Amino acid sequence: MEIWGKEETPSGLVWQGVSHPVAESGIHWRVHTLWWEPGKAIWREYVKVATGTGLLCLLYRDMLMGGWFLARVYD
Amino acid sequence: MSPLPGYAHGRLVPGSGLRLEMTAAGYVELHCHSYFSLLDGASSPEALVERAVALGYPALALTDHNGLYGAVRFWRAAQEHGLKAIIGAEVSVNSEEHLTLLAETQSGYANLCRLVSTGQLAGQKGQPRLTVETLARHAQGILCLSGCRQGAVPRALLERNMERAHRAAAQLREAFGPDRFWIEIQRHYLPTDTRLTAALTSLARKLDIGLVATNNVHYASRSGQRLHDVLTCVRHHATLPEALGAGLLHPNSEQFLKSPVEMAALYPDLPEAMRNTLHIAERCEVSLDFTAQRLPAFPVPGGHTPGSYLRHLCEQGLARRFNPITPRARAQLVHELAVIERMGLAGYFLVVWDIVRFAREQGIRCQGRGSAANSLVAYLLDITPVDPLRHNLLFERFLSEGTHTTPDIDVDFAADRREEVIQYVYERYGKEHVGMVCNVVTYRARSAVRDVAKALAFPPDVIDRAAKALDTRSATEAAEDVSSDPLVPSDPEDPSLPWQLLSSILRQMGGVPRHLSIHVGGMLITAAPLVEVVPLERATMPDRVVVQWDKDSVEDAGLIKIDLLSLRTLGVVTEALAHIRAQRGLDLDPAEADVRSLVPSSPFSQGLNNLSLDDPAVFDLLQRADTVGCFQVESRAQAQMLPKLQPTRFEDIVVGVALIRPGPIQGGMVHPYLRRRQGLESATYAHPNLEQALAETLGVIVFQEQVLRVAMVIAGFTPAEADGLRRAMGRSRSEEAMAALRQRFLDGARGNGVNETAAEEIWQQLAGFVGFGFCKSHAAAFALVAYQTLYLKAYFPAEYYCALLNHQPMGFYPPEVLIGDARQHSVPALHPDVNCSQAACTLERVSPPDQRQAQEHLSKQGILESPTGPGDLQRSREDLAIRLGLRYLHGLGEAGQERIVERRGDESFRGLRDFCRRTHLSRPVVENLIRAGALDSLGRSRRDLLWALGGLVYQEEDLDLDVPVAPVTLPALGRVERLAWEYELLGLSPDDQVVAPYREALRAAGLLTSVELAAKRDGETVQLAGWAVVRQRPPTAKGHVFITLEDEEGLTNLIVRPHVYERYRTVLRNAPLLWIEGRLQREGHAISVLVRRAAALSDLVRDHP
Repeated sequence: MEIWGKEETPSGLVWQGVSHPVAESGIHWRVHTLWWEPGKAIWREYVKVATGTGLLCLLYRDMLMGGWFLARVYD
Repeated sequence: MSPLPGYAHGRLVPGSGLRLEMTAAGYVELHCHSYFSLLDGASSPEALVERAVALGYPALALTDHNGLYGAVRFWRAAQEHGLKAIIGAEVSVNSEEHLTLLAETQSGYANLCRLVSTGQLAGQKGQPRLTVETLARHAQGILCLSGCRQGAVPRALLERNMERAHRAAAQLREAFGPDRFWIEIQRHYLPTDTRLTAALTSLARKLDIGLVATNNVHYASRSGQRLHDVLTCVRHHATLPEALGAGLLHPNSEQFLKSPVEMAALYPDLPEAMRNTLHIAERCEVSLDFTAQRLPAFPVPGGHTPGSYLRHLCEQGLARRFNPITPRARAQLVHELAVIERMGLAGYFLVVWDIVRFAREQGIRCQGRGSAANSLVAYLLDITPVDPLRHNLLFERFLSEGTHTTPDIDVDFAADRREEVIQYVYERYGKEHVGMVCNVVTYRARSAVRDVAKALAFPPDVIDRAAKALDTRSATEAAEDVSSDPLVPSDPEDPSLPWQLLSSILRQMGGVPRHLSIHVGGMLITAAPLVEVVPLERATMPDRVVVQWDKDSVEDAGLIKIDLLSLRTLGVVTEALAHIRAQRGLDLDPAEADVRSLVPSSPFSQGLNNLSLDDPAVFDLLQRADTVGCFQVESRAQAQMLPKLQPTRFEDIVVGVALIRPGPIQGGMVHPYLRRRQGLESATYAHPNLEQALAETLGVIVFQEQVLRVAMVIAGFTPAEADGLRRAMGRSRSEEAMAALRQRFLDGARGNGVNETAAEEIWQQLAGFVGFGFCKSHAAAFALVAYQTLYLKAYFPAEYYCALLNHQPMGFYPPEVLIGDARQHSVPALHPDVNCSQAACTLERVSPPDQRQAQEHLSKQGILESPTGPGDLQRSREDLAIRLGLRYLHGLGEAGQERIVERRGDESFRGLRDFCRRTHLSRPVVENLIRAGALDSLGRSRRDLLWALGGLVYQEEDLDLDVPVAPVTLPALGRVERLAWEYELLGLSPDDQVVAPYREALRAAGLLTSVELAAKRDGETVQLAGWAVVRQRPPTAKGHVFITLEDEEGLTNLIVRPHVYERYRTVLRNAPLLWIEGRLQREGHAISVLVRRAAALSDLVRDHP
């Protein structure tokens, strides 16, 4: 699975071998917590996107390590 | 961060206000919390200012919760950095709704203070309350922002209650006016931000209210989130995981001061919200310089101005104090009055004079201390007790026109009556104009470790151990301690405790406020109603109100405070004088008119307030360190120092008082001074220029003002810079300031051709003085009280000790030592007695034959008489004894004391039955009275009385019946047992000492008494035993422990090196009676024992009965 695009807003993702360009992206929100647990700190920026292929996904950017990740695909 | 093209920020132009350049990317933070939002903000006001400046803000607002605690620090820091300070607060309306208020004008500031005060005083402590009606009444000059998510409007919108939101917004718009109310938009990357923003924007458009962007800042930079989370935990008494689970932590780390670029990126759709921050900032103009407000108008008699009335009072004082009036005194007075007039401080002196006058009229003993004693005017007004001309004190140390400092007059009052003086001030100037200064209690090592470790979910026992093992007092030093190995326990079960994390957070805890308390005695009196200058809030003391600024902020705001302090010794002196009057018909403190009526030929013609300060009896006590019970000169350290110092003049006492302080001790001054005093080395000066400043103290820095002189002479400090050094030395947050001053000093010294090593050495001596040196005038004022107490002890020991015993606890030694010392001075102590005692200690005449008998009795018991000294010939043989009061009986209580005195009335108790039936005290209490010896005068042995008590039946209401008791011969009460009972129930034995019963056995084993020790040579090995009355481990002594041992003949000072202490720690810490073997150390007349071995005496006695 791979996500490409600009730093602030991904423009598409590859999931299950298929390419899904992002058609619309919603609001961004950030979570920063668990800094007191070694190795378990969470600092992420989430965004819900709707793809041109009809998927609704929750993506997040890892603010500590960099890179975008897929959190959920909604039915 | 490079500035955007076209973006510029204004700079503070002196005198012309601030010009702001408005561009699309400009921004001012208008909603910002410092750590004065207690346990909710993580950054200091200074850190916020520095960050704002680094980000290019032209201005910054400070809006702490319901208070302006940090406003002065904020304002000052802003001025120093060329940033405009906007003063505001986030207030609680209707208990829970937050609202942001900013002061637009000076009168708006006054209203802001009023509102914050009203909210604080209306609610209970810690739960302030305001209503919109109140807001509306005092809205003039205030700008209002709708607040964070806890504001009335946003909260209603989040609950989807459009109507309520509209109503709330309309109300506020009405209260403040359409051009003084904005809707705050905050974007913290929260899921509901978008919805809320849309609703707020739409509402604002409908009601024609402007929008403003804020970031609700709680920490200066993103990394502050951690400390903020921890403080949130402390506030809720939770651990971090618990707080997270309960939704108490802010979900992310966005509440920091963001750059204008970052903020602009957050509001691309609302450029007006950004612009409005600049609009609002430009409108606000508030100054926190209240120099003009500093004094209340003092009501002077008709025809006078404050200046002329002051001159009039000084003329009277001059005639009284100087007979004849010398040209020097006259010239000095003229000079001082001129300076006082130019600085507009005549009223201030009159205010203090009036308070002191009131106190004296009420018979409350008082005297000024500190730098005020440099002033002749203060002396003439009877505020301070020392003649500055006689002691070569410099007026400029107190008041100097060059430096913009506010003078500080501190006055000590007899502790037991100070409250009356405080009440007088409130009444005289009105509750509106008087307030107590607050004290900000910040996190220190222990409290910081406890609270932070708890938040990090450390186990309680680990926290306890860690906190107790700390050697340091500051939180930042604790961070070091915690991260170094010895403190990290190797616990196999929990190797993963986050010690490094604890350490990194502790490092940020220095200076973080925990809570406020009242500063002892600091009072503000202002011309304008106080509530328009600084907000008030409730103190924990009922009916007391405190201002939200501490003494530093008060000073920096240009206000003057008066410190009304309490000193128990003054109460002791007052009582002693009363006893002397009663017992001898001698009035040593007559009213002014009667001073001349004292018989000139009598040895006591001077009165206590006019002593000539050259009495040989006083200096004899000092030279022998026979100073138990005397002010400032009785401590162990003083007792070690005085025999080396060998004082012969009053000036020596002044030096002695100033020398034994952490300042000179840490600066390494004490030993050099004493060596030079004893002629063991000559006075040397690190630089020839220092000779003038340091000659009177043999080249050694002793007084605080000498520190300033050295800085000026060696490094070319200007008077203003030297004053800055004084302030940095005197304040809790001096560390950063001192580092900067060190650089300045070294640079200046280099410029003056002083070599590097010498300069560094001199700086070390100066730096060692941080905060804890006495200025000479202060030492002189204290030395005067010391002299008075020595005088009283020398000539009227019975009266003096009696007064001392009635003002415990105080001083360096417990009552037990005072009794022992009294005995050494031929003043016996008598048991508290149900027939003879009052609640307080009193004096009884013991007729000479009885007294001789009493002395013989004491001699027989091995308690020797005190050695005679030169003063003895002058003093009449004492015929007074101290009758210990009933209050010295443990467990009797005030009610019990009163009952005994009351039921006794004019008729003594005739026997045990009579006593019990008249007082109806409970059986256990009567038993204790018997064991303590309080019923000895009934004529039976204590054992007998206890036996009889067993058979006695008596009750409150019922008839009293006897059960006949068969007479029994009981063994006499042993001496040791009696001592044990008395120490248990009185804390002392009036006519015996706990070591005395063992003396025979001790002598047989080769142990010496404290008097015999004095005959030994330096270096000899000695053994002794005694009662450990004082144990000290001063932080300045690098792990050394000092113990004062008492036997029936006196006191001995023990010195315990750290490794010896470790070896015998349990015994030295806990055993009340010690056996000691060590090496005698003698330096001239000063003796101490360097401990080599120690044991509990009880263990040895048990083994060798």
